[in-house]
Amino acid sequence: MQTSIDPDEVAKFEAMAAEWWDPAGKFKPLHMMNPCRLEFINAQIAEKFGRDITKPLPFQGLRILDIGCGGGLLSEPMARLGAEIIGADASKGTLPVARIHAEQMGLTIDYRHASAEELGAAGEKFDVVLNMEVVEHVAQPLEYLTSCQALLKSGGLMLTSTINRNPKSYMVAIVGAEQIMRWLPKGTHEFDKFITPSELETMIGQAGLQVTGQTGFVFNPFGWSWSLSNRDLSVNYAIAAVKP
Amino acid sequence: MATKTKFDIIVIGAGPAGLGFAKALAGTGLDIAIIEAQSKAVLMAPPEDGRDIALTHTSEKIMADMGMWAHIPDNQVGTIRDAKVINGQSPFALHFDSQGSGADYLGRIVPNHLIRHAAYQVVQDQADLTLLCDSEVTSVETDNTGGRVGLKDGTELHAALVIAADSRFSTTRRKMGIAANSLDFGRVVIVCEMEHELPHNDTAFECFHYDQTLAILPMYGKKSSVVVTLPSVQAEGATNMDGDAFAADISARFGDQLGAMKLVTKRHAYPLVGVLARQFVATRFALIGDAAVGMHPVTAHGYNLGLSGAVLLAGEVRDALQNGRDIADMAGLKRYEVGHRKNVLPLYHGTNALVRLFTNNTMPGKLMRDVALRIGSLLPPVKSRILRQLTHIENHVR
Repeated sequence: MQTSIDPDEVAKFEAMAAEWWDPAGKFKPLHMMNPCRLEFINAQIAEKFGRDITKPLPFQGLRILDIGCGGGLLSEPMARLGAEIIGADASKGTLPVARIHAEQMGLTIDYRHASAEELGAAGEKFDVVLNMEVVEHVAQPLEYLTSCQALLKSGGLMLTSTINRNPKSYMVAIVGAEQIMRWLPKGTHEFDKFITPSELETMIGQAGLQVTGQTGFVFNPFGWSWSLSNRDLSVNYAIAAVKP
Repeated sequence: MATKTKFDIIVIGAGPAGLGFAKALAGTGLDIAIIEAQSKAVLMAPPEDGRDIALTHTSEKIMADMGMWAHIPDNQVGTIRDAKVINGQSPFALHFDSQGSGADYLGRIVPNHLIRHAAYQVVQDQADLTLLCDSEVTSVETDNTGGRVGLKDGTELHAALVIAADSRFSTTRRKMGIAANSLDFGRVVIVCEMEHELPHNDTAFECFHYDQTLAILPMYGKKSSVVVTLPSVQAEGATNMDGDAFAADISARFGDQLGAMKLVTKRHAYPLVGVLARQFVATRFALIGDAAVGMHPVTAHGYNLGLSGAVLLAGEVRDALQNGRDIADMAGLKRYEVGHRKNVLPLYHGTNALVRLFTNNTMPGKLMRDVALRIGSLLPPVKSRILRQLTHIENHVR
């Protein structure tokens, strides 16, 4: 923990936090997708751990890791739902943003600059690992997933989302999102790193987890909104897996 | 001075929309403050104000779910089973009855002060609810991190979400810089209650005369709520004229169909201004009730829209809460805005058009409404559409 922060730095990070969390700002695509991701995550956790989502603080007592937490778009909801949440990001830049925003929201979240490997080396264990939109950015997906697996308690749940690799996902995620809509900076995604559902399932299995479910996140250009689909995993999708 | 200054939600205005919104969030654990200019004594025992509210089936159900209905004595509830629209001296009348609407009545009529009383009764012991009466709001500000409401006594309150429910003349709306279209009808509405010799048979009359409109709404027993709109210049005369003469005049206007009539309350006069806010939401802020849309009373949608809007917004807040989202999350606020505007816009503009049509004294205007009434009485789809709007039967809130 820093003991004294330069006030100019704080102002800079406050401005960045405002930008990060502006639903119409730079991270608009993430904000648009987030309710859909949350619906999936909340339902999976509630089902796995027998929690009633209509009650206050349904995730109390669960220790959750949000890996690749960015500004905290998933960490904050988990904290609101009562979980003990650790947000980890390998990039140092967004952590102060996430910390400032959580403080503004009055939420307690333990944000750390750490990789999955480093958390594992520190002996951290979790009931749930949220592994959303990370695996398509790492150099060695299987090694990475294995490190994540090691962070789970026995019976723990890992939710992994990524982007499928096919002509449609190329058109949507790269041509559409980066080149036409400019929702994401060019080069955010590399097509070759996209992963098909069967490849991801295989790797998750090799990492030592059992796949329990899969869901597509589908963008509807007419309703301009995201929804969950059991069948359409053609672009964005997620896989749920448990540690035996 | 308020001792507690941090809340989840601050609601400005303890009218039906504000109290209804707070009640709809009971049991969520959200910490809610309601700021009200009037005293607690007035909220506990609101004075009779001459206004009687026409309630749709949807509103009745919401009020029952909230426990409000149980606080309204049965012998104060009027029932509308039939409605007749009469155009001046023309013989063509639009006739609505509950046959064919799928319900055995069109709506209810309840005195406003009893609704206000019931609304207070159901929130007075609500956990996590702080009612700050005799309080005047001096400043309202919101940004990405929260909302701040300044009170006249110097207190500054903080909340994640600020709701304005402070009437169609909302000063909070103005303080937030939200523009509103307002339409001054140049008319005054006079409301009162009258007893009459003959039973009303649960029939409401809407009479459109040359420069005036008259609504007679069936209350419990041989009593009706009388709503007269007339040009502002005539209002003082009508309010101050002898009560018996006034009653005789009203009776004559719709052919003495209820026999001799007698004024049993004061006459209350209100200026007629329709208001529609350009937007219903802003950062960590939303308008509900008349602050969002203030309707012309002739089609009796105001209270019903206020209540359904409050429930709609509360539903979005609950949804955000259950999913761990920020309760003031813009996506949820926007869904409320889109949903409520969809309900409100046709009624707001439709009512205004109707009022313009029926207060138009030119020959083409009279002709037009004869045609409209004729078409309306001949074509079932037109009627059933109006009937659905009156009863809101198909429009139950989720």
